[in-house]
Amino acid sequence: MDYIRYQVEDFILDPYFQKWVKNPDSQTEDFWNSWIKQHPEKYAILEKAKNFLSSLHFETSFRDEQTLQKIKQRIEDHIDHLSVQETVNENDKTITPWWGQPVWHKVAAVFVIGILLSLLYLLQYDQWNRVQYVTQYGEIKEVMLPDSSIVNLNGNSSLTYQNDWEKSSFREVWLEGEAFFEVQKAKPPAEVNHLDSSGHHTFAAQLAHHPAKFIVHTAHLDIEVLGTAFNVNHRHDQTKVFLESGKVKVRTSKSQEVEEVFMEPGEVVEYARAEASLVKKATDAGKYASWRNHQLIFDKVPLKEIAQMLKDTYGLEVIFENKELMKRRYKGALPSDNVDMLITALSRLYPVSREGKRIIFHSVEQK
Amino acid sequence: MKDFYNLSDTVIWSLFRQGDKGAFCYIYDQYAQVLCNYGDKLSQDCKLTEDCLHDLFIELWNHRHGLGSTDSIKYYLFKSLRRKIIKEKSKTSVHINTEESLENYDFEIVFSFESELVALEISQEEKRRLTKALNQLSPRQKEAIFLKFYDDLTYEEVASVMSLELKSTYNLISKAIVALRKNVTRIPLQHLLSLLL
Repeated sequence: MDYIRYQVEDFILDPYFQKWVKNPDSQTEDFWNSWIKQHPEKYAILEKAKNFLSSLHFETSFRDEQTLQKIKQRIEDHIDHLSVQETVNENDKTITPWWGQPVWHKVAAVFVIGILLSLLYLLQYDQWNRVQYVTQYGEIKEVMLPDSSIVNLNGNSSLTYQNDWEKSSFREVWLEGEAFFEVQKAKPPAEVNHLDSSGHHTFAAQLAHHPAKFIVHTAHLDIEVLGTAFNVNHRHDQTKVFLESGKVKVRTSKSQEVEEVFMEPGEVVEYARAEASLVKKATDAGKYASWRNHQLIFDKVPLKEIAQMLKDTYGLEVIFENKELMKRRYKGALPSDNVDMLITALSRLYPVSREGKRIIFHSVEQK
Repeated sequence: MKDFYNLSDTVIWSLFRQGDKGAFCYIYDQYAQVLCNYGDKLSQDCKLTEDCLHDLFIELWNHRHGLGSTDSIKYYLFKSLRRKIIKEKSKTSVHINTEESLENYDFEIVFSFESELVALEISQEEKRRLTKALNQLSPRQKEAIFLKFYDDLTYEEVASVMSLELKSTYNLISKAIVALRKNVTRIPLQHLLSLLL
């Protein structure tokens, strides 16, 4: 292995080098790190090879858990030569307790009261001009803003805005957590009258002239928008913006030197407070906003990161009895609207179980 | 089911061959996703991929006693699925099913260019150009690149899955990398030019 004579392509094609870049262990780390020290003049070549390898990514299709389980079921049925027996018992659909009324009637009543109460609560909030939507862990909420823009709020997140957009110079919202925005293009001021079906002029009930600029504020970034669809994820000290369609300008808000970046569809901008700079990448869409389809897509993501996500979005505590498992990479699609199904899916591959709000990755005794 | 993750491929495969249903299910859960992923690129037909996956696992179970041992389940499954999909695809065309027509196939992959470097900002335009460069590779080159760099098969495994000689496989991948690199090194200059405009 005459590595000294290697050019960039040779390193790219070398299996031992590939292992170091894609799946290093202590042996490969030791070897390559000491080799670089002995041959510092080759550092640039190694870097080029490493970058090329790290950037070889392909768009992948992900089947959701349900589809794969359906196929599995067909396979199992075929193998077991099962004949399908219909055993649907229609007799006990509603539970009828001894006091006569079906239980579900009472439950529905409670729901209606609950909704009325929260409506009243929201209306009160309106009067004080500040509107806020908050989601619990694991909850997804769809919200409509005064300008008809739609926001999908992911679990453990909050969206706040001032209810006076007609008077102010911007449409502004403040976000903590994760949301997907579909922003209405700004309406031109000319839309005052319109003709109804009989041709008479009618005065439009909602004279909504909203300001052109739409800005999403997070702790570190201001995202300026002109009629687009994009996802913002701000957790801990990192913010990620993914643009699906339209045009967006991202600006750092609190740093000394303001950095600005324009985004095109399919791009992701990441900001980490530690590095205090905006990094732009081109990526494939599936992963960043898949939660809206109630699906989470992981493309070779370490279990450690998945554990962090479970904590952030669902408020679950994750314990690794086996530290080795944290590094394992998972490639697949998990259901996001049902934590039990999510854990079940993971448990097919890893020794993991759930105890209330705790998720435990077990260690396995050597047999 | 929880105990399988700690076992080697050789052991899991061996258990399955002896009729261990749990091992069989574990193998499915482990590889169904990546098999479909690879299958889609080969067939360009999601339904066909799923049908072949289904048929493959049924056949594996039915013939488990007669199967050989393996130390890489993934490679074994890939090879079997590939043969199945190409055979199915050739049924729909007018060709006679000879060894030659087995190599007459397409492999569709799209580049998703992601870089860790701040300096290397890749725009949609550049991504399109790289995809174009990628699609100028032959289906065999694309498949080899995909198996090597996405599914992380060894050179020997790629050669075996694709029914090629080891040396031919290495040359195939080597030529493909050189062709792609030509487009990559062009980027910094283009990027500079676009900044000047």
